[in-house]
Amino acid sequence: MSTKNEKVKSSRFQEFLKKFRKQKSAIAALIVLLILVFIAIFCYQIAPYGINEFDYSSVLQKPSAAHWFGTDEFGRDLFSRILCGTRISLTVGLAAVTVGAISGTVLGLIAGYYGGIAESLIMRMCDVLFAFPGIILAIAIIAILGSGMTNVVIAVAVFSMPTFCRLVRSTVLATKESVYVQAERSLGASDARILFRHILPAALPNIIVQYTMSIGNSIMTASSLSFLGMGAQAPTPEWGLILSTGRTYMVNAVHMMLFPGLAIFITVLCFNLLGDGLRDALDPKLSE
Amino acid sequence: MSDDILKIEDLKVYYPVRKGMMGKVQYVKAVDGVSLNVHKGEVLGIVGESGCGKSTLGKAVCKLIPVTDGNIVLNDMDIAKMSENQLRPYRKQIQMIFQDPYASLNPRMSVHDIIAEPMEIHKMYSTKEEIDQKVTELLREVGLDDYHAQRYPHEFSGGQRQRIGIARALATEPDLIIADEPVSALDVSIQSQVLNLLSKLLKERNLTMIFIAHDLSVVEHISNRVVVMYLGNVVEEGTSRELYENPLHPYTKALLDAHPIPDPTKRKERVLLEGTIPSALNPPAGCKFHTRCKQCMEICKQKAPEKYSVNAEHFVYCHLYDGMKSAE
Repeated sequence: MSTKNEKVKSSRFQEFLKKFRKQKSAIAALIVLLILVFIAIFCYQIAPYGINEFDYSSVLQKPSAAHWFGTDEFGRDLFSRILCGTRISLTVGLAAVTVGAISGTVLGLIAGYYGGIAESLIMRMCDVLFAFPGIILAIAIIAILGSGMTNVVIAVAVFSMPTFCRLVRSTVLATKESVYVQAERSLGASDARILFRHILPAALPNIIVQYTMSIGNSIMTASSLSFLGMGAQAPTPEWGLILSTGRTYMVNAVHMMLFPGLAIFITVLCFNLLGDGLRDALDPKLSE
Repeated sequence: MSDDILKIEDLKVYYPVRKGMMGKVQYVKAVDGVSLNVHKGEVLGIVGESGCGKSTLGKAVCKLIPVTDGNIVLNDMDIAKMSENQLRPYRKQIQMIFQDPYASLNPRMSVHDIIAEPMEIHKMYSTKEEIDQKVTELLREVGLDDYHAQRYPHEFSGGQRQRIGIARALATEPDLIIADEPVSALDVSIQSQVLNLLSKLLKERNLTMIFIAHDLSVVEHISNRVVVMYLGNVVEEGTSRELYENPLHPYTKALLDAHPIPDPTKRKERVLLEGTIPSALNPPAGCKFHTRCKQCMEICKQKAPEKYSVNAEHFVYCHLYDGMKSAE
């Protein structure tokens, strides 16, 4: 029986794959992201130069065969630095959004299912967080905690949390009153069983889409914080930081701004395209 | 009586309603003092037009909505005031079949998981094999095939889904089943199939059931006794033959008259009701039916009628029968 059940589960997954396969741009985005993940894992092996290999004989050089993306103000190879920056940006994005998604989901489940004072407290807290523009909130948190990548992760997690909280709560409110959840209650199921077996699976597609979209957003915010000097500190090869340094040499070394900017742009775009594709493939309204 | 599986005593279910921000809290009296007994092995039909509180009564007995006042005695245990945790073991004894088979099954679960769910919740079997076997038995019992277990609800028709709902309700081997308009969402041709299935199961398993419906012919077909409700109150109660042949309450008469006879040559004198059911927020004083009753008397506007017994099984709440022996 269990094997038969697995067969059914996998056939549902295949149905999702079938729909997802039609999302051409999302597939392309996924391939690019997989390459980025590969780069993030093996960046130090692939990079042609060390990230802190100074070469004062070739500073601020234009892109060439030796230095694909040119060199920076200390003669370091920009291509190598941007490759290694992939690991930092992806790690920060994933870590921050994972923390935000888990805490937001738990709070959203509590708020939606139990209601009452817990709901008022949680939702008003979210309203407060929503009232700040994301980057301002992150700056405020960094100002309290101090700069550094760990604090950037915390800051980005805090501002991505309320979105998940609201999203999950609204699904819980809709699902809680559905007849099949009532049926479940009449069977005598515990709250935990109803929440995790019936309500959470209903919210999961939305959470997955929001998760993917938020990663792009949080990579952007993390880079912005580094750009503003509140995240990664030199000589870390963080994209935002490289961009910020490049600003000084904007007139005579455009490549120092162009390539880190492009890296951020492509990564964020891919996450958003993937999120869009997932939404189209997971949306139950489009499924039948 | 010891053969009563369920005794409802003066059950009240009120929904609070607040009009406007600062408005006074008013109550919708969906069920307003209902008392009835369900004997072991019988089918008790509950009929009435929309908004009379019959579904609310069913859900309250299942404890899906909080009870305002009164007792629900199930197998000598009063479950009306139990907390959710105290109630959990008793949930097994009372199961519900829902009206809408499209909404009552979780679309993300396979039929096997849906039917196995109650058995897992109540830890009725220790091994997966026993549960699997039981699921297969139940599927066959409700007229579905073994291979249906791995499918998902959206792959079934309405009638088949309702069969799945019935299988789920039977999974805990309950003492009492509450069927809340189980066939009203189905096509007429499918209705009779599902009704026949229910009759078969009732006979084979010696089940007790409360059958809630607004279709009188359906209720007549399946019930032993019938309770007629109007605006949160019982107005008449009797065996189904007695009630259909000799309706006493003006409301019951009107209900039966509104019911079409499948013979175009026969035309009968119809007593049709006028107007709509009054708001349960502000029900009429006295007998709640007096605003629409053709035989309304002065006393009806002032005093709610008592329960009068016509015979041992037939009771009516109406001032027209003041001469009869009070049942209280």
